[in-house]
Amino acid sequence: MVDSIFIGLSVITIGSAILSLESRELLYGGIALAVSMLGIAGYFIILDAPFVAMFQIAVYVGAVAVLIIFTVMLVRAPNTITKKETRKRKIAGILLGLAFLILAGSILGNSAATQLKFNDTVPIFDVQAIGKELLTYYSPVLLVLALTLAAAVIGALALARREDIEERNEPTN
Amino acid sequence: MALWPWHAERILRKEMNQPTDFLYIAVILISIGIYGLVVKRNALRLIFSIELIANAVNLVLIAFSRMLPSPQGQVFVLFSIAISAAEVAVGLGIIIIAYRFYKDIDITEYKNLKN
Amino acid sequence: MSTPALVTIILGSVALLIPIIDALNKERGSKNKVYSAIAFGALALALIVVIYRIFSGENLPAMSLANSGAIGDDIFGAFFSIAFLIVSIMVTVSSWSYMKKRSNHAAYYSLILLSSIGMILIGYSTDFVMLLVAWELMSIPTYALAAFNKKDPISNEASIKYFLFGALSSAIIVLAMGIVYGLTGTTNIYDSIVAMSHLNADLVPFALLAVGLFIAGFGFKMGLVPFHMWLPDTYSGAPTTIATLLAAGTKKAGFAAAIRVIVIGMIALNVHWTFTLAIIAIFTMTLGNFGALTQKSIPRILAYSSIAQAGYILIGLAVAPYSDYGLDASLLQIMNHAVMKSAAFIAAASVIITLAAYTIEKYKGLGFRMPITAFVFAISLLALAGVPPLSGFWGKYLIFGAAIDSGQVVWWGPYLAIAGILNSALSLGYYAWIIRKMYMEEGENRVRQKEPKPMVAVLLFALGFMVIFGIWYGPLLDLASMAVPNDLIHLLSAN
Repeated sequence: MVDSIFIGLSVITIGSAILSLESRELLYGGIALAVSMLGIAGYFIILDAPFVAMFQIAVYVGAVAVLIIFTVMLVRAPNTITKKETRKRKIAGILLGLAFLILAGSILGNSAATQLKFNDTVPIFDVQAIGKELLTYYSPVLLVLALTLAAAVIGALALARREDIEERNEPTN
Repeated sequence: MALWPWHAERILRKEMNQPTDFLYIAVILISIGIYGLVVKRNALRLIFSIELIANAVNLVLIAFSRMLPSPQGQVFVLFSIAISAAEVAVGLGIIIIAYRFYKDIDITEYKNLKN
Repeated sequence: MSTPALVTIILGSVALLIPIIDALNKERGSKNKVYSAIAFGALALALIVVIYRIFSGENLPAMSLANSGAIGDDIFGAFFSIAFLIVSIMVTVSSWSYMKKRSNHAAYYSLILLSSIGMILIGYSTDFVMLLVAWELMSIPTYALAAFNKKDPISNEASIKYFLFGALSSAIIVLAMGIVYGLTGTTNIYDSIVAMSHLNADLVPFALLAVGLFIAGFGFKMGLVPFHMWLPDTYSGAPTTIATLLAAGTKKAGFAAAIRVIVIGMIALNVHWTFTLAIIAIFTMTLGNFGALTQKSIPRILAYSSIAQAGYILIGLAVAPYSDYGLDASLLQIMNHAVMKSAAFIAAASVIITLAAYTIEKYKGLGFRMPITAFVFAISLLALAGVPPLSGFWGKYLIFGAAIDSGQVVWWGPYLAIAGILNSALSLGYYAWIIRKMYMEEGENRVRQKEPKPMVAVLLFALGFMVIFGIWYGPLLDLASMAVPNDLIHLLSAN
């Protein structure tokens, strides 16, 4: 039962990951990316991390992917598949990807990694455990994260501000 | 407490999946991301590739968190997700400004700096 | 209250107040000077706090690692904080004149303050999650700042390259941290290093993968050689004051993270990856210097020279396990390089806003047109080349000394020193070329230009720093050796 869920999720996640890069229309690519992120959230549920899965759906699928799709619609580039994407570059990309796959796969495939096992006797970490960690050991990190988000907001606002409107109001000296 | 239907019951069974299964999925996703970073020259596709890698890395962390087991990995992923959302917001702002200049988001068009 | 908390509160509250004041402010007109002064005040206050805490008699450890929680309070962090705060103060004051003709001042100064908080927290962090969040707090504002000249496509292109490589590097760092977490079950840096030293031999390939990924991830910000492609474009395309912040600030933050994680980790692991660092150091120096030789634009020359300087600093890290003063030398050079590079970039910024000159040909006769700027620029170039008795000399001298000293343990130590000395000679070639252009060749005219006063003040401060700490290098070296956790290194390498 679970295994079939795992295989199904893998097909959806990896398939839509490939689709997000290879689709003809950039917009479909963005949607495929969102589906791939949903697949990752599915893995999180299988791995007994429902809170993180919710967070993934809310932030990644709900905010990041939607933001990306909006940007795709704003920057309707005339040619989404460029001539610059030469065959040589494509072969180099496939070779590099395969090289990493084989390297990491061989490290994973050796006997030490396959000894890693999931433990079935431990309790599941629920929201309480995560919240406790967040408010004790990681509390300074949480405060710094607030500053990071503030920095992102200030930076994005500074970038989005229209210069031409502002200049009309400023005295020239 | 019954927020999730599977709250009381474990989804993952001992005899089914092992950590390496999830790590293999993450490795495959990272390879796809590397392929995209090398091949694609569209700035948005490059961001797609980076996001795929970031997602795969989060999967690695959650798999380790379940294996160890410790809740710190889950907290780590929460921070990681929040951070990459902030990063993408700024990055997309930069790309939209680039689009105003070139009416295109292909980074091979950006050749001003080569002298 | 611990130092990082105090500094974060001071800088963070001011950084968030500036945009709020700007939003509430109804009257029109540029508030550049006001914001610059506020930001300068906050940074100076933070600098005083950090220096006071070092000498207040509280026994701060050199590097707080055991039982420290997510953030420590130690001299290592304080040392880096002093360097970052000096750089941020120089950038803020010189922005007074650089930003005069541009808009959006509130966001500019606020982002500089937030980025400096990030750098300072990297120096202090003792936990991987803290390190990651501080890394992003440092990076995200600089992505926006690099694109701050919105009418200039070059600035935008610089920012896109910087953003793509930066986002990739942070994904790589998270992967490396994730592998370490999976192997050890903790995100505390010290605990995981201790756990790694008792690692099951079968799992060592994972540890090596993590070390490699850490080198790659931090290396993108440090500008080490296989990961340096974005650096010249970004440093020359971004607004020049921001290039100062990137070259002197974020690059040093990369070194702070690398020392905290990679160097201490490798000493504990007894993994002989230092040879890899040595090879990277040689390639970084050589490629940086040869790259600088072929360039014509001054910001690009400075960018390539900062790649080369990263190579010199890396020598100290590579020989750290074998020589007692390798890390001292690197820290001394980090502090000196922060000031020298800032001075050089701010001098270039001063020339850009007065004469709009980028290329080396336009620098002809600069010694007569902008005497103070040209003089400090020449001195900072000589200091970068390592000419005694300027401050850059002692850092290089100690680094090469440490490399030769390490020859007792590893065969390649002296060769590193030889490569470094040859590279210094090579770099003196193009530095001297610029100085020759400024003083020996006749430019368009000899009319003395009005030099922007804030930048002159910053340059004179840097001149004082370079000359005083060149002749009287004792205090800086003492501070650097206070920040090096020698007893911890001996303890870790013993078992």
